[in-house]
Amino acid sequence: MCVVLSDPVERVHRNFLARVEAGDLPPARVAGPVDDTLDRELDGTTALALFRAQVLSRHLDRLARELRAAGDGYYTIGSSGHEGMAAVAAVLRPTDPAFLHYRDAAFQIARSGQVPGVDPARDLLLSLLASRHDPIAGGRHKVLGSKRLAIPPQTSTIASHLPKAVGAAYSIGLAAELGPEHRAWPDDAIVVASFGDASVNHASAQAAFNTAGWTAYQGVALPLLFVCEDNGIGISVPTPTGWVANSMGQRAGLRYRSCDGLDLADTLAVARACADEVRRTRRPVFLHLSCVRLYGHAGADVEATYRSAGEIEASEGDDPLLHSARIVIDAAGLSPSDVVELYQEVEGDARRTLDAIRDTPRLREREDVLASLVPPKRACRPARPPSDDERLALLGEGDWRTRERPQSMANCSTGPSPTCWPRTPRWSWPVRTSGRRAASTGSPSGSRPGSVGGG
Amino acid sequence: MIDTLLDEQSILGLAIGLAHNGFVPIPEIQFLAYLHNAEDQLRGEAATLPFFSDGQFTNPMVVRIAALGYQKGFGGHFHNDNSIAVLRDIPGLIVACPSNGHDAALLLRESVRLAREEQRVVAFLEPIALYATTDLHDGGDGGWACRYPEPGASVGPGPAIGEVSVRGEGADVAIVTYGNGAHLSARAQRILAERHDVDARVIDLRWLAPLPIESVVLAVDGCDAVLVVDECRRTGSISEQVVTELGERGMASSRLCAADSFIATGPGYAATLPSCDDIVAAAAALAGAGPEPQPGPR
Repeated sequence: MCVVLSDPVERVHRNFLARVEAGDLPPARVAGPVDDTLDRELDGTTALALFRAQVLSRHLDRLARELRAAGDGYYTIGSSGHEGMAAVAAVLRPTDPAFLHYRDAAFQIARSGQVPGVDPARDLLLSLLASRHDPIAGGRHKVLGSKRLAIPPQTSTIASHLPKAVGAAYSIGLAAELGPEHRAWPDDAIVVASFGDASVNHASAQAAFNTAGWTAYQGVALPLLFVCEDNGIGISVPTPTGWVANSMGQRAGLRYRSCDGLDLADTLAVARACADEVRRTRRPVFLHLSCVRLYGHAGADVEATYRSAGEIEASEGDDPLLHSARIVIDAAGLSPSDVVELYQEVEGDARRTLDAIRDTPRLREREDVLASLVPPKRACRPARPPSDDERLALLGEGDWRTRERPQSMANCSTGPSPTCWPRTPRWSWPVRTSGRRAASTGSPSGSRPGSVGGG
Repeated sequence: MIDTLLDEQSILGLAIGLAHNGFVPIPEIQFLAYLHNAEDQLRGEAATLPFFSDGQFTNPMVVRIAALGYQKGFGGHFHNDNSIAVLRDIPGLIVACPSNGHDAALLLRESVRLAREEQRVVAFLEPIALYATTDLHDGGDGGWACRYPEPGASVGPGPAIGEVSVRGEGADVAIVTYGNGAHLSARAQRILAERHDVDARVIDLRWLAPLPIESVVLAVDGCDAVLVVDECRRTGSISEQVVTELGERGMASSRLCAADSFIATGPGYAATLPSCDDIVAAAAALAGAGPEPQPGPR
């Protein structure tokens, strides 16, 4: 059964309701080699919680389009088809830093459920509305992100967040060793970084995969879970069949695994195995998660202009929510009408949340936009200059002795200690005198800059 | 000290990731031209993080970059890159550039303080050709050598962000410059006095972004003319900004810049760059003394 409608969002929505009610649910797929050692058992409570996260993600996509059409929202790139990422969040801890793909609302929603007092619908809707109260960006961009959830914001990134995810993973081991003052993450954290199949081809992504592998190859800790969300198409260009698996399956230092991102149980089982392996071995793993993309790239994108009706229909027929409906009916003992009821209840809740914040003040003013260009100052322990003994140990006798004479810049900037104020380089600094604003000193009259410490 | 692989995106990504987790990393880009393949890590990632997180996430760091030209025939354009346009317009990014050892130590300390305490991202440009320079006018004069400032010496008048430094008190012409230009202009300063009876002062910007314009205005006050000496290209160089900012305050100034060209190896290494003679000629002409300057464009 397939509902024919020109609006893909409405079509997918109605398709879901119609097929669930009719019991016309897609069969489980098998993606990649099946690892029979994995426990695929999915308990009803977990299945229901993940399904709720997926459904909320879906409804937020629908609301984003409605808000855009009404002129109240500013972003339509959604997560529909990628809701399997809820299961990836479920196998991680909310203190594991997550550098996310922009189609990962379901991840953030599922992670929100791991931290008391976080309201993901409200948070994400405030961002969609460009509200000044948007808890992550203050209305500057619709982003996934949350300080409380250890999700640094990424914008429309095409893999440019992956090099820093590698750095973040490296930092965890180093922080455990050195204990930096402003450490953010626990010693046993792992980093997760997600991206699309087309982004795999980007130089930034290739640099990150290579650097992660290069590091791990040498036995250096790099607890990083890459998650490639492969929906088979990058904007309008299809990814060649098998490309990601064949390109990424055999990289030095980087373990490859795959799962069916449409299947909550499979994703949960494989992602858990990956996360456990990364946490235990401190080595990077590449999880290839297959999924679909629904309603095109963004709101303005008419997918039908570059994709055949059959291809679009196939994706919509594999709506991950339909797969999840099958799973929760099996695992949690829901009836089809229970599933529909849950779907509509989550929608109703999201709409009520939206109604309550629809008049939220938007970010509009110049000074408000500018306010976070410069980050806030932070309190630090007093800096402790090294002792002469420490510096001697670091520099060695030769360099240490050169402190007695003037040197070149190369020696000065790494060099040893003088015992007195340096021989001045004969430079001085202009001194502001009271009552004179620098900006008003256009006339040639008036005092000249004074010399301080000149020689 | 962390040995990295030869990939600038990964070097900067490492630094950003470390900074997320409480470190104050000091990544090094070995030559300025090699920043360009990874520049998005500063422009699109590091600089935007506070902006898009309302200041909740930060990645403070000091990016050391060996930069600029004047290496005597070594390296060609990749090792003598003289364009910093790519750094100047990144909102929130601080760019520092010392011209001598004393300033290098103090500016680096201030840069680390800015990163550590104020969570800023600082690009620290080190003029390669001045690394080993100790002389100013004559071989062996030691005029560009400095003693290493002792720990704690950054307190007081000095390299606080937004402060230029001034050499001399001449009022005939103020030469506003930075990096290698500061060394060349200091040489020109003596020649101007001895051969052209022109009394110049040399103003070393030291902080290139944000441009310390108020400090510049204060430093050039009382001078009859202002010459901006910029070793970067005429197009996109900081001299454009200095001249514009001064002009908007009703102060005329002239520029002496590098040609819009890449740098050659071999004997032509400095042919497109301002020379000491060029500076002398331009400053003397501005001061109404001595021979006419060599024809441009420089």
